Amino acid sequence: MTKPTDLVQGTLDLLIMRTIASEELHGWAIAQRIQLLSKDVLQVNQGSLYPALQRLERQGWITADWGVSETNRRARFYRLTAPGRRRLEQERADWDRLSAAISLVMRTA
Amino acid sequence: MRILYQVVALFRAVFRSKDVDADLAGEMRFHVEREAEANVARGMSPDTAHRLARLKFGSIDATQEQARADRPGAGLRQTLQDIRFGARLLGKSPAFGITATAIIALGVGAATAIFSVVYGVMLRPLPYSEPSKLVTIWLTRGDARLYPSAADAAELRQLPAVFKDIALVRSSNANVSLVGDGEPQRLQSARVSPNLFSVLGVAPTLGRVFAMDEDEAGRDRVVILSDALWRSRFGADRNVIGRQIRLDGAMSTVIGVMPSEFQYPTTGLDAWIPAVIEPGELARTAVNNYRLVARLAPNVTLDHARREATALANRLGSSYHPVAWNEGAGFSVDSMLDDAIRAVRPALSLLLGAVSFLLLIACVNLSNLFGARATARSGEFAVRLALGATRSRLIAQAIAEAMPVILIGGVLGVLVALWAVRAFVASAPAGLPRLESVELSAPVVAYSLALLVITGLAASIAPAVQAWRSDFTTVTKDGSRSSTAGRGRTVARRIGVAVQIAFALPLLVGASLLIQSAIEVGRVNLGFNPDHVATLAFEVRGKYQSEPALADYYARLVAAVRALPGVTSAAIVNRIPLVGAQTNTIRLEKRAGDASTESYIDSRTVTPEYFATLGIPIIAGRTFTDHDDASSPGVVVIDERVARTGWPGEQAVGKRLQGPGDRWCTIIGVVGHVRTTGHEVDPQAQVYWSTRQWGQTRAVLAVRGQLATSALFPAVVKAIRSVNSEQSVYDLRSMNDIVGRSLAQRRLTTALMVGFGGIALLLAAVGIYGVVAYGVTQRMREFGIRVALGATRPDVTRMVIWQGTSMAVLGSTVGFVLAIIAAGMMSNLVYGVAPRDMSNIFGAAALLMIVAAVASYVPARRAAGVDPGVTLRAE
Repeated sequence: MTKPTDLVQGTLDLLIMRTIASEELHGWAIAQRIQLLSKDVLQVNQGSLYPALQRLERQGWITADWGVSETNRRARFYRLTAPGRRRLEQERADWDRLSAAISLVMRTA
Repeated sequence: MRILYQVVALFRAVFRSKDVDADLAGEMRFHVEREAEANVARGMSPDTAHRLARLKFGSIDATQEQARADRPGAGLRQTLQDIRFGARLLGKSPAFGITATAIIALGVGAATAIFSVVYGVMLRPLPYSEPSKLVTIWLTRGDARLYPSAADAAELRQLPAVFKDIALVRSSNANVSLVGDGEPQRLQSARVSPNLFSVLGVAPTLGRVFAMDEDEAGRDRVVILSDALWRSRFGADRNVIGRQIRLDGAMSTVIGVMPSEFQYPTTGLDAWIPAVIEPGELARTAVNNYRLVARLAPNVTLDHARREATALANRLGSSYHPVAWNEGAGFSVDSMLDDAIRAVRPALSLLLGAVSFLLLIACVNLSNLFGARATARSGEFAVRLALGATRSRLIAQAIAEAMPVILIGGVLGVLVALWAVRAFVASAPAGLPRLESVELSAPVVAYSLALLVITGLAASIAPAVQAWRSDFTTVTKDGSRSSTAGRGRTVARRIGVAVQIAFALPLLVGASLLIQSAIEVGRVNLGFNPDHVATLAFEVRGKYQSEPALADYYARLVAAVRALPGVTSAAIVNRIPLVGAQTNTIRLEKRAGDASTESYIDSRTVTPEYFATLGIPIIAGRTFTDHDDASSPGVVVIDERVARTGWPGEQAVGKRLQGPGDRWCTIIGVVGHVRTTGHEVDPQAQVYWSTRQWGQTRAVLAVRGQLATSALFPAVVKAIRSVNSEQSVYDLRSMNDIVGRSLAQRRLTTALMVGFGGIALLLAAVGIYGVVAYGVTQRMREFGIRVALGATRPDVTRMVIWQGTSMAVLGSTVGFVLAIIAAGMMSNLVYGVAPRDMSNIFGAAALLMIVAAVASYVPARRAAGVDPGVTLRAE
């Protein structure tokens, strides 16, 4: 499970967008948060994290600014753009439907 | 909204790539630091905390690189970097850079310049509506092309299914003087039928064109102005329409202004006036003096029109036009564009072919140069391949590295071409058609861009192939011991040199043929002596125009000029040889009651001293005197050619001939023949009439003096003004200048061909030198061994020189065939030499061998100077 992108294409993007939906986070914190929330099941590889962040930024879903971290260091904080927020809502609805459908199949079949 | 973020991100990725890199590096550094802090918080020692954080993160560089390759514009950035690298390589070897740039600039510059002239003159459609439907119609008789008469036009108009409409233009422009509103001014005016503008499909910028009945006497006092005259004389006044202006003493109404690009029938026209066709011109023996331009009816092809016109000529047969229609006369129908460029097509085609050869030589040369450099870098390529670079990456780099040279050379070349074309248009030989449409147009730009792509390919193909073939093991082996490394590449380069020689040979042969032709043409005896003769033209108007007054006026002008110090003789002629001509039909009375008709005879009216002034020898009889006037019997002077035709072996003086107006004249003198049309063609024999018996108001004054002609002009003009203060004069030129102009086009073609031949020779020399010098460097060890084993230094020198000349021999063999083909195609451009003259081709081949030997001599000296001790110890 070290390469979430291998699992489902675009899942990492969704996870990143979800973690920064409520507050601005820097890269390390995003990785930590995903690991924490997934109860250590998902470990985000930095080699995937940063290219993904750049990609999302280029697609206009997220944007970033330099700020000061909780340990008083300069860090780059990511947040959702307004279109990114709308996109996340839609992706989340899609994901819910898809996962519900998959678990339904897995349980009954 | 989203697009805004995307644009900002894209902008940063492409143009602020360094900032993005810095951001990424900064945040990844922060990530590691933060991880380490977290580790410390878990109770690790700082060292262990940092080590583990770095380990967990993995390679910062790898992530950075992946992000970079992911970013848009990555390929572009890579290419730009390669180009910068190419530029740095150039800086490191300026000799290579300058040579390569010069080759490209020369090749692209010469080709672009020639192509822009060829396109403007030969390919660009005429600026009329549906120009492909426009044709010109000439009268032909044998090889000669004659102006048709108004009667011919009337006959051709009986074929409305073939020719939708036919317009007439008088063969020579009229000089009309414009008086009032400032200085009197001579206007070059075309006399045209009213339908000319509708036939060509052109519209005026102001006012209207002629109405169909404005060629009737009485209604013809209307004039259309050129754009240039409208601006210079009338200050671009839009109210000029309807204005009355005084032309040749009578009032005419300005009815229109044509656009500046309308330049028909000649360039530099001031005005168009209606050609009034006199009833006599429709007679079957009328003077042939109209150009005919027609628009084909819809769906009629040129071939069809030709067949119909020929059928008409056959139908008319000898019943019609008994004079011009004998001896298999007919109509010649040609597309208007072909007709306009008839005289220059062979020369321009030759130059376009030559410049293409030159470009090809330049490309092969370039390819060899870059190939040699790539070979020198084969080690680098192999090492990079071994370290994981892809072949396509190396090829992309090979192409990108050639870019700086191509771009600099290309820009320089196009600048050179622009300059050359501008200079050419400004100083082009008189009579080159369609010069006004020579400019930097879109097709020319496209052509130059295509040339850049071609040269770019030529420059990068060898390095690309090198990169493709690179193989670590062979290259590293190459570098060490083997002295015959890269045999295939050497062979390719030697073939390249041979190709250059092969294409240089026809260029040299062509240049040599043209030089010899120019010498032969220069030797042609024109039949008169142009040295020390000054000429100026004028047009007689007003009270002197009537016939007895005109003869007296001419006599007084000649007398006044004759009285000037330093003037040995002076005469007036209606048109000066090489510039103007008038053609007539005459009938020679061989015996009483037996007359033969000669059409297309060059006919001039002259004052008595004309032959002395131009240095035309009087072979028998006498020239005119002042007593050969209107009240005395008609007299004529003929040239030796007419005398030979009419009375072979007999004395022509005293015989009679019938001239214009069917008047019988007695021959009083026979003079030498003059080449009145030019140096190279001489279709017409001459007869001369006395100005006192046939007055013509168009006049050229010719003055023979002892001084330089330029010094004569002020005094001559002053003398003319002393007779008539209102007489305007124009075209002040020395006779030598006129002769020079008639040679100008050939001189220009020759100069360009010689230039191309010279450049080809230079490129071939550079090419041979490069390959031989490289070969010598590669084989220094071998030469060392040879010398150590007893080869003498002359042996080595000979060996190397043979290496160079053998390429020339191989190339010349192929070039020989090309040269023979090219020479055959030049048959209508050479004069006085046989185009396939073998001594010419062998001479050019010999020149190439000598150049090859000289180019190989320098490296040969170096080879011969080898010190076996040093070379064998090296490595």
